[in-house]
Amino acid sequence: MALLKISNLHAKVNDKEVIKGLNIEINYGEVHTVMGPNGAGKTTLANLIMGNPKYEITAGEILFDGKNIIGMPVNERAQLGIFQSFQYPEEIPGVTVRNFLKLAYDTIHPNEKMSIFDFGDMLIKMSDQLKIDRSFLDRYINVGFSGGERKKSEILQLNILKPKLAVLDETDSGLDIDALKVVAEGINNVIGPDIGILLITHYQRILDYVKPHFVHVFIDGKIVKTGGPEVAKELEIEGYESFVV
Amino acid sequence: MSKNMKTFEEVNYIVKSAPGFNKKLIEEISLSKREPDWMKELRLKSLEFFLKRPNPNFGVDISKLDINEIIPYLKPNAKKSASWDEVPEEIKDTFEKLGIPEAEKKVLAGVGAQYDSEVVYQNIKRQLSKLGVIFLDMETAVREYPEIVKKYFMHAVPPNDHKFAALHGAVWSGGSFVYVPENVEVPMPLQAYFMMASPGMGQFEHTLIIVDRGAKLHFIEGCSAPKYSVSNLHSGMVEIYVEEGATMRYSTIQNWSKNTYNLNTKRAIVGKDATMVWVSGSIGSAKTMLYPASILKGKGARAEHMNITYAGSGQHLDTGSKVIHLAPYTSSKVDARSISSDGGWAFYRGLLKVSKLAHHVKSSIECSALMMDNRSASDTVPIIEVMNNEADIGHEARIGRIKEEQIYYLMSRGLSEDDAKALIVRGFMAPIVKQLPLEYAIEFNRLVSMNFKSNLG
Amino acid sequence: MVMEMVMVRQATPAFYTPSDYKVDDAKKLGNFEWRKPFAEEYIETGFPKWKRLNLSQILLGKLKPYTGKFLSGNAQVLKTLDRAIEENLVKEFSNVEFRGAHPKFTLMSQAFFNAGFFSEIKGHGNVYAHYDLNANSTTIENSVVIIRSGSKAIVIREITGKGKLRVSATKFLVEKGSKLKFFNILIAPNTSLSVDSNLYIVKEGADVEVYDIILGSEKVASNHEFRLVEPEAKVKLTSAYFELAQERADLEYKLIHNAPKTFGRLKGNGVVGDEAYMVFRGNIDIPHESYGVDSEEEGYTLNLSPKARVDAIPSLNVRNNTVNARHAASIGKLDEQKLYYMMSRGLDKQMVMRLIIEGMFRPIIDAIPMKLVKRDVENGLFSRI
Repeated sequence: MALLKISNLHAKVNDKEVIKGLNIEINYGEVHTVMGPNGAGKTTLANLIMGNPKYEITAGEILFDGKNIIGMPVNERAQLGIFQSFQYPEEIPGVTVRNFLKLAYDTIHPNEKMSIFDFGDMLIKMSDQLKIDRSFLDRYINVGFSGGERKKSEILQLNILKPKLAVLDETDSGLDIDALKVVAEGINNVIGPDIGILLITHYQRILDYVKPHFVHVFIDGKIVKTGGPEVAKELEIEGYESFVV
Repeated sequence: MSKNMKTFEEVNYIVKSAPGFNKKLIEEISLSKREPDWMKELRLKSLEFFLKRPNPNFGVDISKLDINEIIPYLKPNAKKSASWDEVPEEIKDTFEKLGIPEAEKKVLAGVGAQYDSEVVYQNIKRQLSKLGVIFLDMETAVREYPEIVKKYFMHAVPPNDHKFAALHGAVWSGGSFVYVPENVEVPMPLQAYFMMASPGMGQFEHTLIIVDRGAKLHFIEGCSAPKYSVSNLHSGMVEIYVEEGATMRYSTIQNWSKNTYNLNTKRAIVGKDATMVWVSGSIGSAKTMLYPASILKGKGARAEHMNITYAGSGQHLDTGSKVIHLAPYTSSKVDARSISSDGGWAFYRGLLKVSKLAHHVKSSIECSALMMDNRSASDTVPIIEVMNNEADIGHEARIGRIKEEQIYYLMSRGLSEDDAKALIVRGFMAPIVKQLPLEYAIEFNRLVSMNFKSNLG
Repeated sequence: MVMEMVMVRQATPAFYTPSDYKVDDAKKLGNFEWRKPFAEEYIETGFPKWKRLNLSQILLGKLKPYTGKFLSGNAQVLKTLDRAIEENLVKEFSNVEFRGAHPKFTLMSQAFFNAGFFSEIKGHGNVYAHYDLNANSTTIENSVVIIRSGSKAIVIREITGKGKLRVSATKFLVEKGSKLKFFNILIAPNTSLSVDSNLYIVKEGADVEVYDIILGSEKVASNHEFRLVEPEAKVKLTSAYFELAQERADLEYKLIHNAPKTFGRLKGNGVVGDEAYMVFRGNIDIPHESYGVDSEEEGYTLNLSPKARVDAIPSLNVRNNTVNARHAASIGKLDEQKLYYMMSRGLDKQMVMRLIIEGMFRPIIDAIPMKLVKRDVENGLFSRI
């Protein structure tokens, strides 16, 4: 059974259709990347999978582990194992990264509750492993974080919360080479047989570090081509125009 | 607009006549406390002022407050406690949720007169007497330390200061007296709680604290567990004197039951190079008027005010701060946060005054208000008066709501909507709540979560 | 001219002394039928007890019509208020009540005005009113401006000279989709009292920009009340003031958001020196039904002298939570760092102060579309620095 199967999805926002018949299938253990020009609706795809109420799905279905999740509230999707790394994650003043992650972890993995100390140890280990400064853990989530820090924070969450499907929305945009490596390392660290990754990106730079099994080209609300890593190479040379129908 | 516009003079409300509230009653009270004459005189003078003064023309609506109703509780030997059955279910429920021990429940609910905090208290008493610190209930202090008490009692807030100061002066009962000698640093926070078993039951308690030169004290008043009392008026007073170079920290949480009028006066006189810190959390009562005040009298004095106010259904909490800079090189900082929800009304009222002689003053005030829904109301009315130009004054206020995006982000990490809101609200209050002593902070957070039907611990 | 002093110490109901204006005083000014009801209410109303302005006496001069021409411009309808009433043009607004700085003064304006204009603007229009207090030491103005849908209006009102009393009540009706730019300029040091009340009714999608410039009068009360009554109404007010000597100013700006999705910005900045006293009151009011409102007020005062005083009372009253409501106030003196930096480039303290103060007024002066008026403001400002 596929981890994620989207069939003939149509969706609109503010009365404008932005997803126009999208199909994609992701299995456990696979790394997919969706690439497309800005404004094509890539972030919309991520938001639809996570369950952002701003969008109206007009046709099609989204099956997660065989279950239709359209209409399911966002926190239930998180509990099923869906994780989105946001491009511009919200600031939550007064709530530390540490406390927040413990709460989220306990909610998503109720059968694997850890004591505060064990969890703290896990956090430190993970931060060190990902080369993320430990001081992060006691800062308020995203408050005053630079672009790079925000991305790293999201990647740390990814590693702690252990989802089944990770939808990484433009995780690489605006990063310098060192931050990019940290983020890529963080992604590679979770890749395995129990998780599927959907990496949404505009540039092909991150693909030097995170190797996809499948590359999809996303133009104007749908996927127009699916192939292996060679598609990424093609894009690099030809640009997106060659794919526009 | 009316056709016949009268002038804008204050309309004087006539005090609801209360025949039982008279000289005889006050004398009875004074007699039963075995007070020296000067205290009796102070009470009588206060009574005079009370009967003459009009009600304040701002703040909460006290038109339904009837002095007659509290008279029975002022009489010595009057029935001071409710029976356990009379205590509202809601309060019993909260006790359960907060895990309050049996004995404490009864005291908090105003049932039963004795709580055996004696053991804990005795230990502290021993340590304190070694340091020369005096910590007693106020009534005993009046009798045993008249010279000190007379010098300071109702000097920071004289009986004619305002109507409820006058009421307080006439009927005050119970409370704490603390004197910290020069350069003594009191190693643990002292709690008003230890004095709870004294008569007066907390409605009109008078707390007088003197921190002598170079000394240091942290005093905690109140508790986050709901307090129920048969009388529905709480008109306490706190007077603090922070002498040269001393440091004083006063933390309060109030969670009076929803039928209470909580009209308090708190004032500190801060001397040269001394520091005063007020941390207040208000979550209870039907109506509260509370404006901790710092009078920065000495050069280099400093004040910091941190408030958090949570106004829920049926509540009107009018809180704020008053800072008066009378001397040069003084500084102050105010961080006031409020949350109004379910039709609650949070009103921030502030006064910042920099007098002519106060040069090189620095002050910053920040108020943030979170409105959880459209049934609630939020106001901020700061008054800033600056009479010296060598001053750097900044004020900022913001009223708004929780961003949908924040709720969504937290839900995308698995939290339910209620939990997400509770967490965001906690985060909003965090910088102030974390200034409260730990158990209070935890309890305060839990109380707020309960309001959100959230089980966030 | 006989000066009559009115001692106003106790404000009591139905205050009436022989020294105040009488209903009959309005007869001499014409259009008595129109003025009469206002005059009757006026005598029933007492003077305010303004503790901040320390208003204990008002010199009520003898009432006579304004001498000289004060009105010019180009609009569909543009006449003195007298003429407009005679020609039965003033229908709208006669029912809209407003308290302004205080009902005693708005009623005075409506009963005893000796100056003022009526303008109706369709398409494009501009109005320039200039009152010279040297020739008219008691100027009581009542004006009405109606800006029809989709129109664009520029109104400049300038008051100069030295007089005893200037009172003004002005109403603006800004209709759907129209634009108003209003420059309210007071350059009248040594005038005893100026009380200025302005009411703006702002309708759907209308855009109002007001510049309130205050450079003296011994006592000034300036009141602007904006009622945003329909969605998408937008108001921006910028106030610039410079008070010196023993001058006192009480400035009150109110943004009343009576409709959803309305926008307001109040920005006050100015300077006080010597022994002057300035009160800045900004009020943002958002009632329950008004969702999606965006409203902010900001005040900054530069205080040059240890004897000068500044009070700020910015208030927010909010009953709907889907809003952005914010206010900020700061009061301070010349920034030491900035001063040092500029002096290290050769300027002396006077020059630096001048630069900074000019910097505060420059954006507003630049916005004034009339060269002559620009120059008046510049001169007024520079004579104070």
